[in-house]
Amino acid sequence: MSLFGFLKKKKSAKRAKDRLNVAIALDRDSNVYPYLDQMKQEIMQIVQKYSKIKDVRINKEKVEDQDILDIEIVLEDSTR
Amino acid sequence: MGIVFSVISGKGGVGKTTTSANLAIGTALQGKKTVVVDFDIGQRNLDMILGLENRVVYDITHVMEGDVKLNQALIPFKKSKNLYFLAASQTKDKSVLDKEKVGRLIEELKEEFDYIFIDAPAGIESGFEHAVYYADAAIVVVNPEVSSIRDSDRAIGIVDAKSKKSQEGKRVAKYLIINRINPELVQKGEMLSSEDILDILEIDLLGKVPEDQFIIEASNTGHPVILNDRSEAGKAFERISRRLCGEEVPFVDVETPKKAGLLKSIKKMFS
Ligand SMILES: Nc1ncnc2c1ncn2[C@@H]1O[C@H](COP(=O)(O)OP(=O)(O)O)[C@@H](O)[C@H]1O
Ligand SMILES: [Mg+2]
Repeated sequence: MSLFGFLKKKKSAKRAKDRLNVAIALDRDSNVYPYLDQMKQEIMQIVQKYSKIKDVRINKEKVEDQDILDIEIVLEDSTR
Repeated sequence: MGIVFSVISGKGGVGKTTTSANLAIGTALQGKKTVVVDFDIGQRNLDMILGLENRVVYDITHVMEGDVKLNQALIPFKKSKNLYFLAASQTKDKSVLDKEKVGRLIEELKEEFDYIFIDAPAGIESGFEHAVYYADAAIVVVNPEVSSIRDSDRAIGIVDAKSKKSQEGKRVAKYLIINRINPELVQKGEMLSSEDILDILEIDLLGKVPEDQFIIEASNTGHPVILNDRSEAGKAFERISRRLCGEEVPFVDVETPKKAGLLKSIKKMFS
């Protein structure tokens, strides 16, 4: 390494920390609702008793500090 | 009533078995009636680390299936009358673990012992949930290395989601042990420091254990490193054991290299 090389190159531990912070934040976010798939199945079963549906879509959102589950039930096209 | 400590990690090979063995000996030497249970079904290891591999007749499965009484399967540790060991079975079939059966075993152990250490399989293994279900506290072992730290965060997530206490709305205490610290690398900025790791994982520090050659010797001979008073890792495990027994033991800096002797530094100058 050149005399002032250390000024340019970030130490690897620092890079590890930065990368871990991002990776773990993403991991945590995707693991907040581990039951999501099961819930989706159950919602579909219930709604299907009353009307034909195409799909159930669940989106996780964060509005300011509030977590929101946005559940969208897409019905079968009934005009056909 | 005993306290159940599950010794966990995300990925394997970070030092759970080493930690379980040493902390069990350490707390037993502090006077706690202790049992250490190998829950890594199909990968029995703790018996060798404790030097008890020739003493295993019955294992955890025999007890859970009701083939033998608990006392018949508990193996005493020679160097401390307070310590007993319960072996894992070598069958690969992890379905032998059943929540009710595990529960009955843990209840029985809690009647007889102050401290129960569970040497868990890695967080990705199927037996993991059983090993943490009845935990009062999780001892999380990591190495200062990205994949170990990332995976440990997931393992902690499983404890928070799946353990009995969490499901009852209670808190499972979580303590971090950073194992295999290389002080030279930390000083050079090429290894994550304990401070960095605590920042990332946001759990309480229980102890820092340096990388130590004596650990290989210890596993070769079946005498865990805590019994070796020349070993820095052994001393670290002893400090952690005291902390687990409620003593306030200051954290020692294991991240600054020990001053090399004069001869060594001279040699370094010319190398
Ligand atoms: N502080 C340490 N210094 C040197 N080697 C270590 C240290 N801790 C663990 N090891 C070694 O790392 C390997 C894995 O340890 P082990 O306790 O079996 O991990 P796990 O139970 O998590 O799979 C073993 O060979 C052990 O001797
Ligand atoms: Mg192990």
